[in-house]
Amino acid sequence: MHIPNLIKYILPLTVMLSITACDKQTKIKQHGLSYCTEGSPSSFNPQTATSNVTLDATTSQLYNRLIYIDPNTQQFKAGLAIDWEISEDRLSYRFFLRKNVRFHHTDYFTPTRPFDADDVIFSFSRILDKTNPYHDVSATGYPFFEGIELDQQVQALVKIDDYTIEFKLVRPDSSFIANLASDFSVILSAEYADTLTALNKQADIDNLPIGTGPFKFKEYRTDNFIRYQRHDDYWGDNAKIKQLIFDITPNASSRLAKLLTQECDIMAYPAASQVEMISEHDRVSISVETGLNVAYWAFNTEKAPFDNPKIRRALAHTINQETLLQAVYYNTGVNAKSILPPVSWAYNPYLKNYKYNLAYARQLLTEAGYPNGFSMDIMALKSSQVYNPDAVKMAELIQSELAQIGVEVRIIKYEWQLMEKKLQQSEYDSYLLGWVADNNDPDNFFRFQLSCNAINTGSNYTRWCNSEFDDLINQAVTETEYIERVTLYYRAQEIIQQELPLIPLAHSLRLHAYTSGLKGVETTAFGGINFINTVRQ
Amino acid sequence: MFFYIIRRINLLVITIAALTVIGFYLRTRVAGDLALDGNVFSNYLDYLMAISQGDLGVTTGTAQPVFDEILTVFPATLELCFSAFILSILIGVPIGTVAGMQRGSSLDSTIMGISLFIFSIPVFWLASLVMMYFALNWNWLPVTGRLNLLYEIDSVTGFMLIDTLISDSPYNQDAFYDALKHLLLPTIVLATVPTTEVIRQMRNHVSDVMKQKYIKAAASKGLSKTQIILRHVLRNAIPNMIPHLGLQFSTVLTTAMVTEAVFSWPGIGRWLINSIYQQDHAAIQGGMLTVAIFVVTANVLTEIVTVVIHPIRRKELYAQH
Repeated sequence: MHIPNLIKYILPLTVMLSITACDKQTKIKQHGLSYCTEGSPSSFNPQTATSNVTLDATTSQLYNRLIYIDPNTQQFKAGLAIDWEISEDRLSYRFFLRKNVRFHHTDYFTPTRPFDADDVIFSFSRILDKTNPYHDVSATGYPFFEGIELDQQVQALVKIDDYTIEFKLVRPDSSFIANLASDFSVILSAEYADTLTALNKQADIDNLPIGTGPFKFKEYRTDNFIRYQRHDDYWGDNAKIKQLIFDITPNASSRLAKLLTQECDIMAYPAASQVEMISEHDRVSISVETGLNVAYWAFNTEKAPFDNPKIRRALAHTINQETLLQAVYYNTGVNAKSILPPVSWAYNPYLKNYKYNLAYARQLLTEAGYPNGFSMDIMALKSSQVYNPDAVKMAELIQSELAQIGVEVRIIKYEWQLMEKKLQQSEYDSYLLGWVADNNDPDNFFRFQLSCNAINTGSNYTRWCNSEFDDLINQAVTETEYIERVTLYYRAQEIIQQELPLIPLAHSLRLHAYTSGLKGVETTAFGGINFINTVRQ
Repeated sequence: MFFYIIRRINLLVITIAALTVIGFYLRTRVAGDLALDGNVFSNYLDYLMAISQGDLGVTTGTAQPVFDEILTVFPATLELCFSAFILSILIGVPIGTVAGMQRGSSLDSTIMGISLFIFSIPVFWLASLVMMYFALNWNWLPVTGRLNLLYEIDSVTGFMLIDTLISDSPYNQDAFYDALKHLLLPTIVLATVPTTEVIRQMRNHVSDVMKQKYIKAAASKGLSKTQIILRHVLRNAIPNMIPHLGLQFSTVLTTAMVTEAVFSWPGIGRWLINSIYQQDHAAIQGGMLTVAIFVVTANVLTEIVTVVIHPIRRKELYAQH
């Protein structure tokens, strides 16, 4: 065959093949979705995890909860429980369960019965009951439930009938129902647990997941990808896409590259510095939402001179929030007045910021007996966090401001594991950290970080204890009247602002970049992403 | 010939033994995942027994057997290296031949100048550059990975091009094209250095052959230039290339690690770099041992192949050793 002849045959063939390939590729893309996530999940059961990556990859895709919080109205709405009743004394919560809910049918498990009360009992008694054979299967324990001391809160879990279940509490607690609606309170299959017990493969319950969610587990390659398939027997409307991929790409530049070349349809957490470039691209869009998080600068209030509120106020006056928002957040954050973000229903809008005023800061230092300043440490995390893209840069900006009032700052950079150790040993002056809410109850922001009891349990690193504040937050969780609760939390925020165990700096916006034309990606302010309604247009 | 091969195999065994000693040290002293009972020699024998059965320990990161993980990542690296090798031969041999045929001409100087320039470009920079233009600016080719993950292809051989073809997925043909597209940019980047080496070596060997009397004889017999090249020049020059290519293989494997890191190619290079970040010593020793054994074996094999197909070379080797 002559070469020109070869070209004559090969060229149309190639064109034809590429056209058919394109056509089919569009088809496979039409039915599938790829999400570039920033890390690997630590488990496939959110009960045992704390990381946002794990919650994103599991909670909404694989499982359902009894109840949900509507992202728009912030009201509770039905999930696996179609209705619920709270007793007059607010000690019993009765849930009426949904019927004909099917668990996932996979290569490794075939369910024989639909979801019922036994599954709820198994899911929670695994956490609450130390004698439950599945209690110790997870090496990490149940960090969220241990943190809120759920076992101290729930006295008993009673099966009324196959589709009715009742939680009996030790004392009234308004945050209880919000905790049941949190990303961690998923329902597992009791029948699957029994099967695994018979096979002596209990640990698989957290690694080869079975849930009732819109997607079922297919394949996981460590640090590489997760493959989910649609759960076609889903109790609600089926997901629009057949296949969901979590493409694990820790590097933000690689994630962006994959998004631009359409290897990924959605990209998690674009770097703040990339936002401007992304918004200039016509193939991709960016979604911005207020996050339920806060970044702050906190002090060791047991150590001089930080035990003096005047010193803490002086330091607060040296912070130029606008500079921080521009230089660290590239305007992907909003300034913070309170530890609660403005989207929280208990946010106190009447709080006033500490104005940037170096002269006044110097005056306060003199009044506190430090006219020539002092030297101090700031601990900052090396890696970027949801609430703070660059704590080290933030520390450097604070350092330069403090130098102007004679306070000499040494920045110590840590990885989280090491910083946590230092925090627990109270070996520090101050630290830059933050908080991402687990649910929309304000208690979640206050109790862990600032209550007196949290000093003993080791999560209040400021070591600040204020009895008035403690009374307020304790009263707030037992209070039933909405207005009363709001008033109590308003007052609690005022106390924090006067006493300043920590200076709230910013609330980071939650960003997602995605291919234009994608609709129905649902994210919630307190983390979690849901693809059930996602569709390509 | 027999003794020659025995000597080569001896060298192979000794080198591998030395490598296992290093691996043993890493695994016992640094990773500490092997039970020790005081007698170093018997511990070492236990270790040899273990690795001969494919027991390279368990990674600390994923708690999976190191050997299993290597089996999933190594084929990806080999696929990339082979395709880069083939590309470098396809490009390097004709260009090198042209340069060798016209040694000293301005065309020769231009080819050598350009190939020296390309040789001196740092791989990671070139990788970033092609990624920026071909993938991000012009959007012609995908930027990372081996296959669009939406294609569900079972791993049988570990070589994506083969796996996509033998897969029973209805999309296997499209998956094959997709895999090919993913392979293209990393292959081009990885092929640059060996291509310049092939050009240089080919040019030298061709010009050596061109000086031979049998070429003049062939020309005087009235053979056309093409006939001379195909029948005499290439036939005599290419076998001389093989040992050089064997030596190139370790360079390609090392360069592949950098290329993999840039293109997120899920091969042993990226896997080893991750293991180093995570200080996963069990994985590091397993990966190191595998790569080193592979390189040494490949080198010895090319030498053996050379002497088998090229008797003159055998004489030279006898004279050298």
